[in-house]
Amino acid sequence: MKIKENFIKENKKIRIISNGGNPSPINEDWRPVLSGCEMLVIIPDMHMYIYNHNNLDNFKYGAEAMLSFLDHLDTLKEEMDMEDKTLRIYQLGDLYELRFPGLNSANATATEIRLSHPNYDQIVNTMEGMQTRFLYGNHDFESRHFPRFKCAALEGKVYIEHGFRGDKWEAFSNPDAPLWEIGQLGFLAIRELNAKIAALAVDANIIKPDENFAFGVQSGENPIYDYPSEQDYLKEYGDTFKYYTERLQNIPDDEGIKICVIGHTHHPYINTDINDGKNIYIDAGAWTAGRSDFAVITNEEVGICCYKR
Amino acid sequence: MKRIEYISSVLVLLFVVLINGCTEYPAIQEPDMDRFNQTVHSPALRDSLLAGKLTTGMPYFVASQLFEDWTPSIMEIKIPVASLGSKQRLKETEGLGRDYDDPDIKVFLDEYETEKGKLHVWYQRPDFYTMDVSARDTLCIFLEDTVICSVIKYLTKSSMLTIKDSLPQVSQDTNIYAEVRYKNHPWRKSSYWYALKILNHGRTFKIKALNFEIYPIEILEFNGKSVSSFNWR
Repeated sequence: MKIKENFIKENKKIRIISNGGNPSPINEDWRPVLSGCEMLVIIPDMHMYIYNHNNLDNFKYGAEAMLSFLDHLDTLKEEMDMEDKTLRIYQLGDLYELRFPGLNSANATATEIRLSHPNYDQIVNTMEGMQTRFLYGNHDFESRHFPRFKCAALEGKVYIEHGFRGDKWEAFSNPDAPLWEIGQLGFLAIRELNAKIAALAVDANIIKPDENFAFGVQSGENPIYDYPSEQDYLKEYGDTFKYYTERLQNIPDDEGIKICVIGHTHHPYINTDINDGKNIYIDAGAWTAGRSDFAVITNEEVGICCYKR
Repeated sequence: MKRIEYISSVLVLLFVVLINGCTEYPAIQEPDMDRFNQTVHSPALRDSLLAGKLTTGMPYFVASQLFEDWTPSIMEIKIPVASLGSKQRLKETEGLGRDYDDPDIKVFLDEYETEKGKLHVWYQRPDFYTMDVSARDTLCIFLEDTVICSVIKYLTKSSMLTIKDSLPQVSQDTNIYAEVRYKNHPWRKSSYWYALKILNHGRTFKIKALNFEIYPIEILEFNGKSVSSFNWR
């Protein structure tokens, strides 16, 4: 199946952003790379937070677009079902932002977030209705307690994981690394301070009550559709890149993993020439802070796309 | 010393009695009739709303609109619970006091304190399994002024069913409002589905993705007793 003909079709809101706007072909010797499905759509970090709460919610700007995108997927999935073909959808983790303050306790919970706005609930319900497979990330790490959320997945020759495992301990973003719990305590304290300063700024008419004011996070009000610099990716996320490419290199050939997909960095990136052409590395980007990226994989092509609001 | 303690206790008691006696409840807001009529096509539910009754089967937004002015001290809303009728909150703690709950919880409870007592409202994200729909029940579709009923042949999955008759007159683009009438559950008169979409061959229906505002109310309880409706007028 082809990305442009069979996935995008007539939908003018979808655009391939990687490889100069064209799908990257998959090595013919690897085909088929998928098993059990003909098309794989991978939705990266969303960071849904309690709607408009504490001026820290920046998912809201992309929520309508997400519902529109899910409607496209729902229709496509049904059309493919009729042809006895399967569209499989993954959410790469960080579906929820549980690291920010909650309504009734220190941190937000999944239910508080989902029920904070009808659109948020509908997004999760639509995903579930399409049998989306959920992974957990570092911002919704608690989801690992529930059977529907997995750490990683293997779809044929495609390995899928959130992507936090390559982070060093000092980033406090890797739940497997030392001092994670202490780091989270500090992080939550910063966000509580953030919320208090935002409240003061609202009172002083510096920002509006519904304006995003999260330290270090882009508001998301303005959409970002570009494909950022590949050099910047290697510079800023070199550790992540190195960790996963080394893991790919160490996998024996007979295990057959050819493609690795992660998220976590919020920086879309694709490299089809990993380990001397043995592997493909994809960072699916993010659907938050203005971005609306996702990855599409068929047996013939891969690509990172964005969805216009 | 004992006398001081006695006087203090009496004063505290008096204060509590006064506070309780002086509690004022805000006026109940009338729900949005137009929105209700656009969402729900069931005549029985429309009649109940006109009569000023909150009943099971109505969408959740009716309850939230009725108690729109209630303050947090006299209401607790959107409490995730395990099952209908259960008031046990589902929340766990890990690490340094962080809370989490199951993102897949489908049943929620609202508690409102009213002038005459406590009202509990359970509502849930519906699917055909949890609503006990089965083959040989009847699906009735409301299409403008007509109601088309057909026997359910089988359920494909929790969100999809196939009826016996083909309905080619129903377009795939139509928003379908329907209700299920049970054959084997006389205790449960009907189950309400506000939004379905029709799939291939005009015989298979899928529940459209809903949001919590449209979840049907499943159980109402007033002062600890299960009731079929709550009269607000």
